[in-house]
Amino acid sequence: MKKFVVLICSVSLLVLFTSAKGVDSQKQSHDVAYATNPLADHPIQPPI
Amino acid sequence: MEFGALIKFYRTQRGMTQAELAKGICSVPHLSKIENNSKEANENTISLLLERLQISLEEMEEKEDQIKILLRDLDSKTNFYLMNEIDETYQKLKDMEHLIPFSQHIYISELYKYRYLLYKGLFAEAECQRDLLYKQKKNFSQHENYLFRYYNAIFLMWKGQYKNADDILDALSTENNNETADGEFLYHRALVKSSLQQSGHAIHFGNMALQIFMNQHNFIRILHTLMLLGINYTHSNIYEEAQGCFQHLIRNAELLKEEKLLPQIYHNMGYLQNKMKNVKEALYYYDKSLALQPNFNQHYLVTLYSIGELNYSLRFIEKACECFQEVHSLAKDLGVKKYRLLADFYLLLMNSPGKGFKYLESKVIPYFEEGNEHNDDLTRFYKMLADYYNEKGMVLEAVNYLNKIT
Repeated sequence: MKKFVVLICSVSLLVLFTSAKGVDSQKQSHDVAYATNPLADHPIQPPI
Repeated sequence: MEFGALIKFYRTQRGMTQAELAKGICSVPHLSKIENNSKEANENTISLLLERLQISLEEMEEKEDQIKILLRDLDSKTNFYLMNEIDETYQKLKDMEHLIPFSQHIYISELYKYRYLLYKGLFAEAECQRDLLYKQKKNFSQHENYLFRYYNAIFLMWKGQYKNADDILDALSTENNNETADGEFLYHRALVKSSLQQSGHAIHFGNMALQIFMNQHNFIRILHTLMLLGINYTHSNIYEEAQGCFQHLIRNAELLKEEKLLPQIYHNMGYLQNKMKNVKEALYYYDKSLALQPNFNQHYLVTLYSIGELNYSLRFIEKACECFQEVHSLAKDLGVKKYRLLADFYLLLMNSPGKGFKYLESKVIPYFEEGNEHNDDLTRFYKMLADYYNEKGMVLEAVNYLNKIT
């Protein structure tokens, strides 16, 4: 039973890491991701 | 008026001995007691003593009334934010400064001076005045003590210590059973809450202040409160209300010739449009704001930075680069570390994402985390870093930043 759990965990981790690396190799650029980031909140407060 | 101290002051100034002054009016020990305020003298004796000193009793009483009227006027002009007119009243009070220590208004006068210096942005002098008042604290009446603590909270707001200011205002409000009808106090409570990004509270106190200012026809403070409400409605995603506030502001600021306020209103309208994802409108209002602002001040810096970010998001890299370069040099000149770090980050990011994110992690984030007052910025940067590491396949680092967001 223990061996089975360890095996399942290892497989899951392997899948997780390989899929993440896959995303990296497909996109190759940061441009799209950062362009859609929400912008800064910098209002100007009224005087004290 | 404290006639004993007044008589002593003028007797000394005229180089007279107690015997010379008292001759034919009262005994020397009696005069001594009057001067030390240990004996209440009758009006006739006081009148004769003042006459010998060539001072008229009536004139003195008139001057005490004048001091009272001037103090009331100074208070009113501060509350109505009549910054151009306040100097004249302050100067008139200064002309009577030599008499104020003998009046009943000595502490109130010094407290109003403290407030005046704060409103004028004369912080070094305000700090000296605060220290002077601190030494007299034990002599204050309950009301004077309240004013001293309230003005100290305003001082902390100027210094950017909003949490401490909030604690003082909160304590003052609790001591008064939350029953204040002072629009200015409620406005400051709202302003502190807004700076701490507690928008719900800011809207609550802002609306209370607005009601009072409207009843008083306090037009300038109405504009300031509407701006505060507009910012906090924007923060709370109540866009229709926010837009209403800013539209009122644009109309009325032009009407009231509030040229100084108008670029700030345009900036905040740009900020609202930005949040609503109307990027072109946002850029339009930011540009309009920038065109009306004199260079080399902090507001100009904030607007320019916002334009830089918008251009970056639209991938107008060249324009973004120009903006951030200007932000960098201006922030350096003005000594504003926050915007210098942010400009450097974007300049590096556009040149080399790896270097940019390294700078973000090693310089920008520690600075923001230490300040503990830039939660929105921090959340945004955590998200950017999480996306960056995720793309690079560095899942643990990505998860670390995602955890920080929650």
